[in-house]
Amino acid sequence: MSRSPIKLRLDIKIAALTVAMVAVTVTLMGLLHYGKARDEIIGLHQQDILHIATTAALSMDVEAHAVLGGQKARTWPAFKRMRGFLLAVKEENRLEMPLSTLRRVGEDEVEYVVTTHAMARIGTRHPLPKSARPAFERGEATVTDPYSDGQGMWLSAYAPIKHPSGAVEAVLAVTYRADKIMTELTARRRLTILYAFAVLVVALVLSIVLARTVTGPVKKLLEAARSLALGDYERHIEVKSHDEVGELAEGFEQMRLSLKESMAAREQLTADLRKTVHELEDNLKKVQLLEQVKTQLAKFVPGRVVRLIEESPERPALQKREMDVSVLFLDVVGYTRLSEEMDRDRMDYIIQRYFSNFVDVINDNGGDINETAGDGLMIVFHHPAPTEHAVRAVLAARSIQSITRAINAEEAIIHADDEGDFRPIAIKYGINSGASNVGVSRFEGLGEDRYTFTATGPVTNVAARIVDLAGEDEILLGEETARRVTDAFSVERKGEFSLKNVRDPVTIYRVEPLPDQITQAAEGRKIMDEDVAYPA
Amino acid sequence: MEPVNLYTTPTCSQCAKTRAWFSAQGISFTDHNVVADAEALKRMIEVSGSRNVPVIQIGDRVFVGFDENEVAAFLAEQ
Repeated sequence: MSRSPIKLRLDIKIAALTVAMVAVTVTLMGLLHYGKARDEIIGLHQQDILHIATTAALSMDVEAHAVLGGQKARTWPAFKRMRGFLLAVKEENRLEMPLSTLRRVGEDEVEYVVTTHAMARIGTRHPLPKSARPAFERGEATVTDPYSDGQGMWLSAYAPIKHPSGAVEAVLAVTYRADKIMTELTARRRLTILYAFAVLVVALVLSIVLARTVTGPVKKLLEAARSLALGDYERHIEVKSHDEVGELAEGFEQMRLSLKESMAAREQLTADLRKTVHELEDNLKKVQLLEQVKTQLAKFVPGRVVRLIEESPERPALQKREMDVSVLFLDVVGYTRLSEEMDRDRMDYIIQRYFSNFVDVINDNGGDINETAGDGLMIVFHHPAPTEHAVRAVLAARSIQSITRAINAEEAIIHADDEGDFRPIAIKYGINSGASNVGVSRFEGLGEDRYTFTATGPVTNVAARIVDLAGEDEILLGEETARRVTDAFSVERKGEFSLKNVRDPVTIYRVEPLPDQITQAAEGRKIMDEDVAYPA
Repeated sequence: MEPVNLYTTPTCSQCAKTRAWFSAQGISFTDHNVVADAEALKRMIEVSGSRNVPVIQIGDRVFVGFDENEVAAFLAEQ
């Protein structure tokens, strides 16, 4: 498994921070330790040289020293004795540099009185060393800090040679080569650096261990978070740590459990929703099926029934009631002969070609087709105004008459070179008006009952008999219908006829025939002379 | 889009439905009145082998009568 950049950064950050902190601490402690050791070493050497100078000064014969001075005294026994003493001190303490007694001359100069140096130096004057001033002025022994002069590093101590009265006769100067102090200090510094380096190495190792101790649980959390992101809500998050990371892990675990519950609830909700959608889809399919059934049934059910059911689906007003209607019967003349002469496809085409137009006309005039037989239709017209439905029934018959003639003309043209397969269609019409029982008729059979919605009674019966009397293309009317339409159509009395199953003779009227030609107005459509292009 | 030719007559209600359907689909077409145009009638009989209207010719494909689903399926394949 590759290590993520985030983890690398966190490791490095923790290790680097730890090492940096340790490095700073070790450096500070090393510096402090080194400084303290340096002070101790120098202090020990200063005490040593100061002790030599002080002890030697106290051993000097101050009275004898007071008479010495200049080159002339170099041969005196007192001078030789004191020089011998100083040489013995130098020898005993293994001092490399000469010992000298200095007498103050004026404010800022000193004079060499006795020295283990070359004799030529006796009596020479030099500037008063700044560090020797307290010994001259306050009778206090002093020692310098290490100093360099290009030839090496030195320590100098100045001890007063006092009269019994306390007056300072001279100062004994002892100089000590301090180079070996520096050697000692360098060795100490190297040791300190070595210790510091060792501590840093240990700190580095510990810091890596520390970083892994911290990032280990974080890595576990990271992997757990990734599992959660991928939808694994079953993986238990366990970090055995009692610090903030442990609390974070506990928070993660609680979040996992909450998410698991939420997901379970969501899945349940989704399942419920899917079930509901499925049920809705089933219901929708049922509704669509019912719509299809309704659409298909509507083709077989009178339009008035469809409207009544749509107005009151639960309790449609289908019960029979008396209404004033006009009933139009139309029959195809010689239908039986035609159906015998033509093949079935051709006959179906003819029926569809003519009757499709008839249906449009009937609907346009508010008629309901109640019955269809192979060769005819029964159509009921109703309108609140009794005259209006009678006029519409005649108007529908007139239009069907015109359309039939127009279609006949078109078919004649189409079959001009194929006359053997063309028979003009002729329709005959019978119309009667008056009060009729309109509603559902129920026929009880051995199996299921049969219902039909129609107009029944004498008006319908007479209309059916009238059409039997009509000739080709002839529109015959009952007396009541004729009375109602005389203002709209030219009507003539055909005669009085006794009809089958009708008690009294009935006077029959005939609507004036159409001119024996086709007019554009009669068919209601324009016959085009040229092809017409319809752009999209 | 293949050229669309309709062979119709003025009184044919199926022909009127066919014209309305193609217009509604935004498909341009040429309407031939076979009772006014003898040449169109001849072509219609040639391409369809039928004297029933309407005849719909889309490229080389010919339909006698108008079945909306059948024509729509054919156009969808194009």
